[in-house]
Amino acid sequence: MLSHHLLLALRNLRRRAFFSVVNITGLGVGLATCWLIGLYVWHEKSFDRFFPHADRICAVALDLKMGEEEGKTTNTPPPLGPRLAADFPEIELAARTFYLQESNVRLEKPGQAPLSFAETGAYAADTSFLELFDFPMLEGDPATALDHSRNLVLSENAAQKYFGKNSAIGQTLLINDRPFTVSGVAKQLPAASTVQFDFLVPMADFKVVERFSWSWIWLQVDTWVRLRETPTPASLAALEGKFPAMVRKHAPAAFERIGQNFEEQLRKGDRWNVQLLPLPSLHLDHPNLSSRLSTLGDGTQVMMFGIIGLLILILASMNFMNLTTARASTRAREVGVRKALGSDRGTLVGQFLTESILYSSLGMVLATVLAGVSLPLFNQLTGQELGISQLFALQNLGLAAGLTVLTGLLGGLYPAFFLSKFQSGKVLKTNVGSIKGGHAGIRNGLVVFQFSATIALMLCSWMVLRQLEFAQKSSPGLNREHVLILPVLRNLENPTEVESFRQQISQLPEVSTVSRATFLPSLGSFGDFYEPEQGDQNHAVTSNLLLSSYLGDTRLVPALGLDIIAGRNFQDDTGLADSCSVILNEAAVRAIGWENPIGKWLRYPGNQNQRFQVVGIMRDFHLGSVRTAIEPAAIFHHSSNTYKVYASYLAVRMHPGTEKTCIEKTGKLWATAIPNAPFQYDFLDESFARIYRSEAKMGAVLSVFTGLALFIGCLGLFALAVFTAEQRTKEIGVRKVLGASVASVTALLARDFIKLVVIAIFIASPVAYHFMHKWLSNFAYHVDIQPWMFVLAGSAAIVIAFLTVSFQSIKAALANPVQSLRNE
Amino acid sequence: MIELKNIERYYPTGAVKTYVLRYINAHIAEGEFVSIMGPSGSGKSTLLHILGMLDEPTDGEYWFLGEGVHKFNERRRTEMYREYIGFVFQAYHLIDDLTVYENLETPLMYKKVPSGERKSRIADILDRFNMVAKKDLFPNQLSGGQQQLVGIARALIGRPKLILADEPTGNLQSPQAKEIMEIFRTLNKEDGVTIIQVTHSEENARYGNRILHLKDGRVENEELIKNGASS
Repeated sequence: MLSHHLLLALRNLRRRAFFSVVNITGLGVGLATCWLIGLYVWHEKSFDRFFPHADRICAVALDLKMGEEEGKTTNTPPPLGPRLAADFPEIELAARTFYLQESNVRLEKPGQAPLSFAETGAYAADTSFLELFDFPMLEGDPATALDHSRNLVLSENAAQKYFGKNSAIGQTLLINDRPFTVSGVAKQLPAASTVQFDFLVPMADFKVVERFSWSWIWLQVDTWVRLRETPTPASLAALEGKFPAMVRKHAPAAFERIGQNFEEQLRKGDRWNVQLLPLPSLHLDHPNLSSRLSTLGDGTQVMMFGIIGLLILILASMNFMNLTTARASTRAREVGVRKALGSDRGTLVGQFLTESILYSSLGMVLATVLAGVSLPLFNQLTGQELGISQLFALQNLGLAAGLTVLTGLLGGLYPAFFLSKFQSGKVLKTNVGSIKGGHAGIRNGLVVFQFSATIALMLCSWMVLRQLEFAQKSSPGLNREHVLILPVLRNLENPTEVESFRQQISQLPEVSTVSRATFLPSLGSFGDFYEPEQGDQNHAVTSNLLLSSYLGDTRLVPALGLDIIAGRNFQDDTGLADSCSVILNEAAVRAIGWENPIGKWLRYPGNQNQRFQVVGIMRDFHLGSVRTAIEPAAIFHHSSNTYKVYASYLAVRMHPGTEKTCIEKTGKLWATAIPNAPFQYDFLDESFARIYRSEAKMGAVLSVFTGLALFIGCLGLFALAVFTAEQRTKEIGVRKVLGASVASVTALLARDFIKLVVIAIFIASPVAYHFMHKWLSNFAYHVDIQPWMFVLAGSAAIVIAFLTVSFQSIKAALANPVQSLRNE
Repeated sequence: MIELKNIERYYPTGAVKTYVLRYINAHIAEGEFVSIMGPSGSGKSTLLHILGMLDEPTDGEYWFLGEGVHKFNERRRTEMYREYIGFVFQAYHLIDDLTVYENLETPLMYKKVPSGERKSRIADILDRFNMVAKKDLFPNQLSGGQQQLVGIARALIGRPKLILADEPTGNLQSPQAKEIMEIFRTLNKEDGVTIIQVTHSEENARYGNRILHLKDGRVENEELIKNGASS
C-alpha cells in the first residue's frame, strides 16, 4: 500500500509541477531555516555539559545592592574563594581566575624575529583551577601544572600557534616581557564552554591579587567552586543560607578600611549576598548577570530564535495546507471513487500523509543544499563556527529527519482529514466540478496568519534596527567619530615614555589632539564612592555617591569632543594646578543635588579623604550602552594620583578623511617606541558599536527571518492567486463578455487577497506593539514607537501582496474569453 | 437481496421540505437485472446512491442481505463496498493518476488481496475485456468507451454480488453503448451478478428483467420485461 501511495504522490507531484515547485521551495526554505536554528539552539543548550563534573560545579556570584546601584555579578573579591573552601565542608574545591586583559605574548627565536601576538585569552588561575574543572590535558598533569611559579598552561590552539607540531612542554614564552615555562597543554575546549582560555599562569605570580587579599570590595577575580555532591535546589539554598554569617564576619573590616560601615549599610537596605550558580544553567539562565565571562548567552534570545524558526516552518507548512485544500475539488472525486471502491478513511489519511511527507522530504533535500550553502552566512549571524561535517553529524541528521516528519504531519494532517471526510454520494453526482474549493474560510485564515506573522516580524525587525542605529549613532555630548584608540597599558609602563610617545603622535599633521586617559567611554571606567560636601547650600545633598571616572589630561575634553556646559576644562598639564580639580557630568550634579556645583567639594574616602573641587560640568554622554541610564561620571586629572588602575589609553582625534595615513604613520611611531609589541589600534565609534553586538545580531537575524517569512508568504499567495484565477476562468470569461475591463477584473481578483492582508495588518500591529514595547523597555534610552511605522509597514505589505497577486490576476484578466468559455 | 421500505429523502428548504424520494417500496432479488428510469429530477440517481450506500435516506428502512443498512456505520459500509458492491459511473470516475492496471488493482488492494492473486485476477479481466495492450495507459489516453470498459472491469474485479450502474452509457456513442450493455447481460446471465442500472434509454432498459419508472420521487409503475434476464 505504501509503495502505491508513494507512486501516486510522485505522479501527482509531476502532473502539478508548478504547485509542487511552490510547495517544495517553501518547505525547503522553512526546513533549512528551522534546521540551522535547531543547531544553534542545540549548541546554546549544550553549554558546559561536557565537563565530567558539570553538575557539581558552580560559579560564585554576588547579589549586590550598594546605594542606588544593584545587580548580580560573577565579579568577586579575592578572599571569597579561599574562605568558601575553608569554611564549608560541602565545598570540595574553590578556584579563582584573574583576567590579564590584553597581553603581549612573545616567543623569542634565536637568530630570527620573535613571534609575537596581542592575546586576549590570558588568565592567572589558582593551582586548583584545572583540577576543579577536570580539563582534559594533552600534556602535563592538571593537579600540578600550575603549582610552580612561572608555570604556564597553554590551550591546544595556543600551543599550535607558537610551537607548531613540536611539543610545547618546557619551552619558554614571554607574557608582557615576563618569562613563563610551559608545564601543560589543555585539550581544545569545545565552543560550547563558558570557560575559555589560551594561557594560564599561577595566581601567585600576580601580586596585585595578593595585595587585595584583604578586600571584599575589589571585585576583580572570578571564583568557581566544586561541591562534594550534586546539589538539589534545596541543598543549594541551604548552603547559600550559611553564607551571610561568613560575610558579616569577614567583610566589615574591609569596608571599614574604605570608611564605610558594612552593618549600617545593610540596615539601610543594601545587599551583599553570595550565591552559587550551577554550571549547567549558567550559560542561558542569567541574562542580566554582569560578568567578565564573555561567552554567556541569552536564554530569551535563544528561545525567541527557536520560536521564530518554528514559526517559519509553520508558515511553510501552511502553504502546503493551503494549496492542498484549495485543490480539494480536484481531489474530492478521487476520494469519492476510492471510498466507493472500498477504501476506509484511515487508508485515505495514510495516502494524503504519505504525499505530504514526500513533499517535506523533497523539501528537506532542498533544505540540505540551502543549509550547506548558507552555513557561512549563518555562522556570521550567530557568531558560531559550525562546519559542514557538524551540519551532517548523526544527531543533526536525526533532527533533520524529525523535522521532515513533523513538517509532513503539520502540513498534511488537516488536508488529510479534510479530504478524507468527503462523502462519495455528494462528490460523485454526475455533473462533477461543482464542488467548491473547500474550506475557503480556513484557507483565508491561514493567509491572514501568515501575513500577520510576517508583518509583525517586519515591524519588530525594523524597530530593532532603528534602535540599533540610534544606539550606535546617537551620541550627545561626545563625538565618537574620527577617534583612534591606542592601548598603551603594559606596552609603555613608564609615564614619561607614554608622554613622549603621545607628543610624537600629536605632531603628525593628520592629528588634531592626543590625550592620555586611564579608561575611555565604551571601554570601562573606574567606579568608587565619593562624599559630596554641603558647601554654602541650604538643603541637604546626598551623603555619598558612586562615580564612574577617568583620569585624564587637559586634552581629554577636546579629544573626545566633550561639551563643557559650565565652568572650565583642566587648564594646565605641566604643573599641579588641577591636581585637586574634578569635572562632573550633569547626572552627577543631579544625583548630588547641588544647585551651584562649580566650586563645591567632593571627598574621596578611598584615598585618605582626598578633596576635589568641581571646576567644570560636562554634558551627559553615554559611557557605555544605552541600556542603562547615564551614570554619574567624573574626570580627574592625572596629577591627582588619586587611584591606580590597570588601564591606559591614548585617544587620538584625527582630522576627518586622514584616517588611513594617520594609522600608517602612527604604526611606524609605535614600531620604534614599542618594538616588542605588535601595533594595536581601535576606533571609538567601532568600540561603541561592539557593545551592541547582541542587538546587532538580533537585528540581522530578525531581518533575515522577516525576509524568509515574506518570501514564503508571497510564494503561497502567488500560488493561491494562480489557483483562484484557474478556478474562476469561466467567471472571468463571462464577465469580460459582459463588458468588464481588464482593470476591473484584476481588481476583482486581487481584492479578496488584499482584504486578507488588511486584516493581517490589524492583527499584527498590536502584537508587534506589545513585543516592541517590551523589548524597548530594556533600554533606558530608546527610539519611540511611531504610528507611521505601522502605516508604512502595512502599506509595504499591501504593495508586496498586490504585486504578487496582480501578476496572475492581470494574466487572467487579459486572457481571451472565447477560449476559457469553450474549455468549460 | 434488497428490501426498501418507505424510503424517503428530502431536503429542508426554508419551512418546506423538498422531497427527492417518497414512499419508495421495492424488493430486488439476487440475480435480477433492474433498470430505473424516469425524467430528470425524478430521483433516479439519488435512489441508486441510497442503494449503493453512498447516500442515506432521511426516512425509511433499507435491508441488504437481511441486514439493516440504516444501522451501518462507515466501517461496515466500507466492508460492503469491498465485499458485495461494484459501482459503474456515467463519468467513469477512473483515477487519473493511475494506469489502467493500477486502477484495476486499487479495489483489490483495499480488499487486501495478496499480490500474486491480484496479478492473476487483473490478467484475467484484461484478457476478458481485450485490453491487455492498454494496461499501462492512463485514463486520458483512452476513448470514452474504453474508459467505461475499465470502469466496469474495475467494478467486477472484486467479484461483487451487486453492480450499481449510474447511466453507464450516458456519455457513449451507441455502438459502444451496445457493447457495454451486452457485457452487463452476460454478467447477469452467466455470472449471476445482480445489476441495478439507472438509464434514460428505453432500449438499454430492456436488457434487464424489470423496469422501475420513477416520477417526482415516487415509483410510478413497474414493468416486467418478458425477454429480459431471468429472475
